[in-house]
Amino acid sequence: MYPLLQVKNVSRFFGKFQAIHPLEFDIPAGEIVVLNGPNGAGKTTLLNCLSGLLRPSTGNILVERFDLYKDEVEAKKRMAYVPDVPHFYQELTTWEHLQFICLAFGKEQQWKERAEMLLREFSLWESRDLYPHNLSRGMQLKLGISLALVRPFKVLLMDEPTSALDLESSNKLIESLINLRDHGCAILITSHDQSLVERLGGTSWRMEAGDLRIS
Amino acid sequence: MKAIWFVRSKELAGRFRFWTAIVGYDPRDRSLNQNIYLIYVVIFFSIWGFAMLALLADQAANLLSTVQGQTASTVSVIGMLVLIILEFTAAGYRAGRRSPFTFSEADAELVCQTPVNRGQVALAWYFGDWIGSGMIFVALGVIFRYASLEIMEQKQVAWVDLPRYILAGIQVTSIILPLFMMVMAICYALGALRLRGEQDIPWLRWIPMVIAMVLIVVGLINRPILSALLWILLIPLKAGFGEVSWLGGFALAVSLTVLGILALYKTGLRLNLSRAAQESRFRWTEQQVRWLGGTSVRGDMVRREKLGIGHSANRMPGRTGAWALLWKDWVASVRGIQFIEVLSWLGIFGLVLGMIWAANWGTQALIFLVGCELIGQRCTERLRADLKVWTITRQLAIRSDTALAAEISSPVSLATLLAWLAMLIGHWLGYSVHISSFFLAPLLVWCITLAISYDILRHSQSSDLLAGYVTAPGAGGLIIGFVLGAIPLITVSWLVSHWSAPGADLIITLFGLIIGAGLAFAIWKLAATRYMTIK
Repeated sequence: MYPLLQVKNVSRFFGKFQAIHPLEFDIPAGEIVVLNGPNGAGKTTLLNCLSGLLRPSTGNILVERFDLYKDEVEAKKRMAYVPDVPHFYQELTTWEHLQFICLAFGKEQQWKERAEMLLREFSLWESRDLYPHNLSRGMQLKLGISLALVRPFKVLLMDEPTSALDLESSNKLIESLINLRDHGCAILITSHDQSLVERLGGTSWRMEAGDLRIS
Repeated sequence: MKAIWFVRSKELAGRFRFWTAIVGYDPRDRSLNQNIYLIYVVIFFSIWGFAMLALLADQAANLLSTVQGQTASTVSVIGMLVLIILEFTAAGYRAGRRSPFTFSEADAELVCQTPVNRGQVALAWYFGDWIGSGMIFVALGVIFRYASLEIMEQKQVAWVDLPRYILAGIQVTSIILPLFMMVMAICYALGALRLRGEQDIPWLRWIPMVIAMVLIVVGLINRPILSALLWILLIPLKAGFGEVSWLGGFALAVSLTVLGILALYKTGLRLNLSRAAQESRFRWTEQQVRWLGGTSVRGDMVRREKLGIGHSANRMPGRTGAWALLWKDWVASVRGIQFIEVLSWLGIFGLVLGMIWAANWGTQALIFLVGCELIGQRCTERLRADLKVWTITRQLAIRSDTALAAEISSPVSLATLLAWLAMLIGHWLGYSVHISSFFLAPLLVWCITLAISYDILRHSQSSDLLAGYVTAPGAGGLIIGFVLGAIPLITVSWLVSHWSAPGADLIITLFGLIIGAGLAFAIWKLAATRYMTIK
């Protein structure tokens, strides 16, 4: 399997503090990696860097061989990220967020079926006309997940996606992730849930004080 | 009854302490130093206030002197009358829609749940609320009074005129203040009337609107009848501006206020405090946030309150790619627009008209600077909203220069349309508007918006954006925008005034377009690079 996500010498400083030490790793197609580690280890910072939300201090990130900063558009077309605290437009409803993301990623046709399926899967269908600020924390996270899953991608990054989910939604998400892996996606998830590796049948990596230990 | 006034006075004292804290005075400190400092603060702000009023009066005098066929004091009286009617309409509508009495959480428990005299509560809250808006009306009255004096005496305000001006200020204040309090008492009475018992009277809010409409219609059909209808307000206002006897006008104004207060007390006796507290909870929270200076949080709160729970899906068809940003901006703008934003858009129209109307370079430059600020605020709003949801916008597979152009194109188009409309009206009114201005307008708006966008992006950091914090437009961007906008504008204006050969207009327009387009392209690329490389 060829690597879908390649990380080369990526590090991140906040002033003098080095949140991530230089890291190098690949994630091939059809693999799920669960990244765990104590609070403040740098997991969220790493995911923010890999998704392009936070510019790394050094290094390159390649998504299916496209550099995230040199071939920005091509790389981003192939990547989706679910942050631990998603932010939303105040004036767009749940449904309109999905519509916006589909349009922005070029899906003018047949997006409605996919959007409806995701909303039903995560029990958000009844809340489709609500503004996100009226959704609970868990529902907001589900919307964040739906926004990532509704569009095409090869690499999926998720920051503690099960932390605020109810058991049923958590199981549905795991099913979806296994399905995506089987379709050749590369998935990197941060989680404190040790059982997630077994349930997903993935690889467990550990991060401590900005360093990565790949088992 | 003392308990109500005690609670209210404590609350007002808290508010007063906020202002004293701002100027660095501690009312609890009884030392000599603090007393001397208090005297200094009072003197300083009195002089500063007078100087500001005199400065604004100077500008108001310029404005008043342009009105032909009427004396300055008559125009001032009419202006204040219009303002009072507008205040009555707006405040009356608000009071008829939602409780004008704002109760805090503590008030809701302490006052609303106890069997106190509701009329007294209504009065206590009324007397605590007039200062903010009342002071604005008083200041406007004083400015117009000073401006009238300035025109009458054909000279600017000087220090030797101080006693006379102070007297004139007191004269107009003694009239405007009771009139404002009368208007406020009637609006509060309207609110109290709606909040009686459990029943809601939704049509009450329309009464002030209907009265205003009737006055407009009567004014259009027959002005003497309108004057007769409004004599009760015109007499005191004329007294305030020295056109008739002050004593009579003052007595009438105070009588009206007393009647208004009595009406408020009477309607307030059956005031349902629980309903009032429930309705005003949001406003109280919003006031607290405003006092703490959380303008961004307050903006979000007000927007969410306006948006409500949800909305049925928008049926407007969208297109893919960067067009999706335009679709999203359209939906968001239509849903989230607030009255104050409409006013600031109209401000752009007014400022362009003002630039056409202004006779000298200094005034034009000042108006242009204010215009740059307003354009910067309005046209970068969608960009700032997008930066606030960094986790979404940064993931979009759209080139940063295209995304930036898409984010500002709708507001830039609107600002351009308003500028064009102002130019057309200016031309229709007989002012000179050069043809090149029409072609330059979109480029100038584009340059100013992008300069301010560049400044916002220059100060943005990913870690801040991830936390939802976005930099506000700053002075740096304003200066760059002002300079970028001024370069083609000054060049074209200079050429127009110094070159009048056949075909010169076309060449000047083309030259202006080339300079404007070059600057716009350069600042667009610069801002896009900043957008892409936010650290």
